[in-house]
Amino acid sequence: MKNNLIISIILLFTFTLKAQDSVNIKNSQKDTVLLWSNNTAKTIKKGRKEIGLFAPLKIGLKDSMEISIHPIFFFIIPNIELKKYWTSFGIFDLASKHRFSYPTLLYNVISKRGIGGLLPSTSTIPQMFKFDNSILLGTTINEYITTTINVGVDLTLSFGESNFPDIEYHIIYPRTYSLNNLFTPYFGINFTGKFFANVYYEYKFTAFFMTNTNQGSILENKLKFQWNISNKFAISGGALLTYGQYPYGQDGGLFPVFDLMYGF
Amino acid sequence: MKKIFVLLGIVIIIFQSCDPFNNIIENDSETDAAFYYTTDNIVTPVIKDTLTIASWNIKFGGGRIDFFFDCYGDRVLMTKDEVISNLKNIVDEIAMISPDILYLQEVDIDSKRSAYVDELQWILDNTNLNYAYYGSQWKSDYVPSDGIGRMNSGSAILSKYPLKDAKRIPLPLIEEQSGIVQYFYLRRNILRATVTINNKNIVALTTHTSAYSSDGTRLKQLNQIKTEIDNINSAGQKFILGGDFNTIPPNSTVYENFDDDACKDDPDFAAQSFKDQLDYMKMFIDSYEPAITQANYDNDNSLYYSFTSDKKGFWNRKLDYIFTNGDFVDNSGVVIQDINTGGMETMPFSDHAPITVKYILK
Repeated sequence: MKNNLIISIILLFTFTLKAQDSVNIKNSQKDTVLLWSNNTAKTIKKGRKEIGLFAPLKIGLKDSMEISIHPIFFFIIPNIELKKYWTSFGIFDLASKHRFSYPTLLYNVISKRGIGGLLPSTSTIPQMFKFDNSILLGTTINEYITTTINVGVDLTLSFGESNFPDIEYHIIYPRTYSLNNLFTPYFGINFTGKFFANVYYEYKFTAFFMTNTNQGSILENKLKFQWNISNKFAISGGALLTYGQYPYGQDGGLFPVFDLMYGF
Repeated sequence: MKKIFVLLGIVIIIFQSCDPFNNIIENDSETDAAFYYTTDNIVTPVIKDTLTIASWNIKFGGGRIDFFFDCYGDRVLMTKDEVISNLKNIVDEIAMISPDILYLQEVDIDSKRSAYVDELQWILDNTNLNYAYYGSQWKSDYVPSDGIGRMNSGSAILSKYPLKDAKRIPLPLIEEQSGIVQYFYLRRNILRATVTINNKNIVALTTHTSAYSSDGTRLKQLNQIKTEIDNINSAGQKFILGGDFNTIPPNSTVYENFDDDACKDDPDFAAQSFKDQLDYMKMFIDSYEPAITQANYDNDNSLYYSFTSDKKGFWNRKLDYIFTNGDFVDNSGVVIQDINTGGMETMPFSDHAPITVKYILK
């Protein structure tokens, strides 16, 4: 945990440095950072498409609406997400995200003997329909800082006999908790903007609230930097720090974040 | 300057993230990898002339549940009630033995399969043993195989007397495994600590060597264990080594085709054969005093068998040993197999039987 504390301080310090720099810069080129998709209330432009090595395929259906699917995983975990920009009032933008996925197929695949068996082969997987809905409220202060608050609930409706354990691994646990526990509320705040030249930063804090008794919350801090090589290519990298209450006790973890993205 | 600081921070972050499942126990120093335990209810021991020493692989408190890995069943996870029920049987057995020093193998302290019960703490709190050191041999935030999940299982030295100077000494990994399998697999070790009784120091060591390897890894591990105790002996110190060596003694009349081999059709679980390994333990037996003498073993192998994976069968091979460069009470070594041999039924408690011996404190 000592290492995690050091990394937390580095994450916080690097972010604070840049935030201090940005406050005196005039409000200009607000949308530069939004050329690429992000976790703000803004959507990508109509007709633009983006895909990452790990990130899903995103398509701007309208200037105010984008749709995304994860094509690689689509055949074992059918999924679709719609992001809708609704309106602006004053300096704030309002949007919502609606994601549907069907994890039953994937869970049947990973309930197996041997390597890749994340769950026991004796697991009974029900029909599971997972809905993740969130509201995003954001404001762009200048090209160096856009702040977005998001609040959401991950809800899973299950049908049929069910008997499988949770996947109690840092980043997976809060995202799959609703499969066995109906729903997971979460709250987050995101800061993103230009760091220097074509390098952008994104800091995202998310708190997941575990709804069963004696289970608290899991906090995630993600800091990543994205180098927009051009309008078509971008590279991002950073780290995700998690900490919270798991079934086995309090725990934390540090994970690298990396992606290669192509937009057109 | 700021950019350099940020880039340095990123490099540090990436470097720190190289072991995402926290499997590599050796990232900690040998002393940091040995974890100290004690109980709130310290029972002051009486100083005696002889010490009772015991070693037992307790199969993570799994009793005789049919787990997937021994081909008799498909269970992976236990409930907390099952674990506690099995641990109660184990502490009853420990109470009967009343060891002064106890070596345990396959103790789970933070594993999904044993409902996250800290078995070592539970045993300490429910026996007359006061102190312990723990060394992990299988640790992972998540083992992505067979539904095992989070794992922290290892060996422990428990004692009525204070322990100090503990170390977890790593043993060679199985080289024939692929990198990814090796990363998530068991990391064998020697756990050692010093017990001080009546101003006399004894080095206590426990180990648990590889069960399945065809590349000679187990022999390398045994050689390293032998070197470790040779060094202690050369330094003029007394030691007591006990554990699950996963190797049968010389002159064993049965060395393959064991009656509990239930995995004959499963290529992942090759039936154990010790045909070419019958002399592996000779170096220990020739150099030091074993709890079960070779003469006694030769007289009747079956009295000293300490393992079977078949709960409907009976102990069919000897894998567990205790050695010293001091003195054991003559013929005090016993494998507690059942009421008749050892005084208590042990078949339901684990796939190993405990071995005990009396050590003369000089």
